Order: sequence, then C-alpha cells, then structure tokens
Amino acid sequence: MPTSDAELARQALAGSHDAFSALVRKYASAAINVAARLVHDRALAEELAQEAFVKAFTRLGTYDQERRFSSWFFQILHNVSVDYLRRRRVDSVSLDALISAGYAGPTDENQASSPETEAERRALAAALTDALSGVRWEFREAIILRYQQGLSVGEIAEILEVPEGTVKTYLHRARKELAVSLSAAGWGPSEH
Amino acid sequence: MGHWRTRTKDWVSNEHLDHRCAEDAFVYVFAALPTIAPSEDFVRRTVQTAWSARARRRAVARRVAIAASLLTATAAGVLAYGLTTVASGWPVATIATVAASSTVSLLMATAASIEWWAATARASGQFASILSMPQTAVWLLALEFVGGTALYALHRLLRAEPVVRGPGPLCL
Repeated sequence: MPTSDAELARQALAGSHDAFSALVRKYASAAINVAARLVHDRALAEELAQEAFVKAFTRLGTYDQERRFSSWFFQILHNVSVDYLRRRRVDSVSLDALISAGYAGPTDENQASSPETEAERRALAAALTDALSGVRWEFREAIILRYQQGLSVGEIAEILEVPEGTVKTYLHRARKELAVSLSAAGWGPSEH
Repeated sequence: MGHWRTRTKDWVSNEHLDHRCAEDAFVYVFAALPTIAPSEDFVRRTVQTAWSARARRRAVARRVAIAASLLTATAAGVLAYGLTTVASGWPVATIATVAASSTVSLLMATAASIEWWAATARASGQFASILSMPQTAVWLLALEFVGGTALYALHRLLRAEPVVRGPGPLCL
C-alpha cells in the first residue's frame, strides 16, 4: 500500500531523507508547472518551486495532517510566487523560448498522432500560452490549478485564501478572456 | 481542419454562448499545453538545500540558547554580588550564595541539553553533522568553561565574605 502524504510528512519531520525525497519527487512537476505559468521562465520556476519545498520542510511541524498535503504545499508555493511577482515585473516569454529551455511535451494518449496533428497542437499551445500571459495572474493561477493540476474549487479557494465564489468567478472570467484572445488569434469560429 | 482546431472552435463558440458544455470543451483544449519536466537533479538539490537550511537553523538556536544561559548566569552572579554589598545580613547573602550555586547547576544542565541537541543534529543526517559539529563543539566547550570558571570564582568570593558565615548549611 503506497504511503500517504501525511505519513511521508511525518517521517520527513522525524528526519527521513527518503520520505522528503518522495514528497519532492511527487510534487516537483506540478510545482514547477504552476510557477512557470506565473513567471514565464522555466529556470525561475524551478527556483521558486525549490524555495517552496524548503519552506514546506522547515514548517513541517505546523502541517495539520487532517488537511491534504497538496493543498498545504500549493498554498506555500502560491505565497512564494506572489511574493516574487510583487517584487519584480514579469515579462512574457514565448513558448518557443520555454521549449528551447527544456520543456517536455504532454503525454499524448493517441500514440498514432500525425505530424500535422502534433504541429497543430504546438500552434494551439503557443496561442494558449500567449493568451494566458495576458490574463491577470490570479485568474491564471486559478486556471492552472483547476485545469492542469485537477484541484477542486474548494481546494483552490483554500490555497488562494478567497471564497469559493471568487474562485468560480476567476475561472469563468479567465475562460472568457482566453476565448476572446484565441478567437482574435484565428482559433474561433469563422464568421459566415 | 485538424481536431485541435475543431475542438478549439467548439469551445470558443460554447464559451461565447455560455453553454454548460463549455467547461468540458475547455478541459480538452487546455490539455494541448505542454507540461514541464523537472531537471534531472532537481529532487537531489532540493532535498540537500532543505537539510542544510534545517541544520543552520538548529545551529543558530543552540548558539542563542548558550548566549541566553550565560547572560542569565552572569546577571544572576552580578545581582548576587551587588546584593551582598548593598544589603548586608546572612539571609540575603545566603540567598545570593544559593542563587550563584544554582546557576552553576543550571549552566551544567543547559550544557547537558545542548549536548542532547548536538546529538540530535548529528542524527539528522551526515551533511548536517558536517556543518554543525567540529567548530561549534569547540566553541561550546570554550564558552561553558569560561562561564563555569567565572561563576565558581564568584561563589568562592561570596564564601570569603564574613557576613556569609551565618547558618551555613546551604554553603558548599
């Protein structure tokens, strides 16, 4: 039976390297992806993710095991990212630059996708990334946590420390803005 | 028109019309975004950084505890000496002697707890022990020796005072 996050946290607090390594391994990709969508820089996203993990480790004594570890950790990551965003101006970085820095593409369940389909996906990904960069960072974070990390509205509300209704508003407005941006970029329905 | 473009058009149309199925369509479109894989040594670097940070915090906490103990012991000794000069009489002097003697015990108990903390730091990992042991251990011992010597000298000084020779059961 796989060890729960709460048990791993307890073992890490007691001094287990392996337990903390397991937690980092489990949430590394999610942390880097969330941070990268906020700061648009892969190397910086890794720094912020690492900072969040270190803070989580030093605060393991305050972790309430009744709470989901992912929610607790993402809240720390949120605070680290927000602190950075408020200190610095963040410039957009194109998807091409991020790819050259070492992106891994998504796992494509359809292993038989053609080169044309893959090219279309990359074009859509570039358009989505550009559109996301134009959205308020609060909306962007909510979108990433909901649709990339699969968190519930309640969990996102806990992480962002806002009411659930506010999270729903963020998601709704973010999708509207993205739809307008993509439509303007030629991905919307053609007018007859 | 490929299926990505078709799906995106469907989502955009539904989003504009506020259709309920817009969210399901968006989930599919959003899956086009690539995910970033962590660099190869990210996990190792992060765990190492976290352990180093904890070792540093514990070393600082030990030093603060030592400084606070010495400060308390010195203040108690100075106060005791001041009381014997300001207010004579064996009760006050005896209390001052007991306080000074107790402070030595307190310092020794603090030293024992510091040794326990040092052992805990060693147990927390090889990397932490490399950072926390050699130089700090020497420093701790030196401070304990100086503090203990100063308090013992103060204790002897108090014993030498004639006013202290009252009902001496508490004198060491």
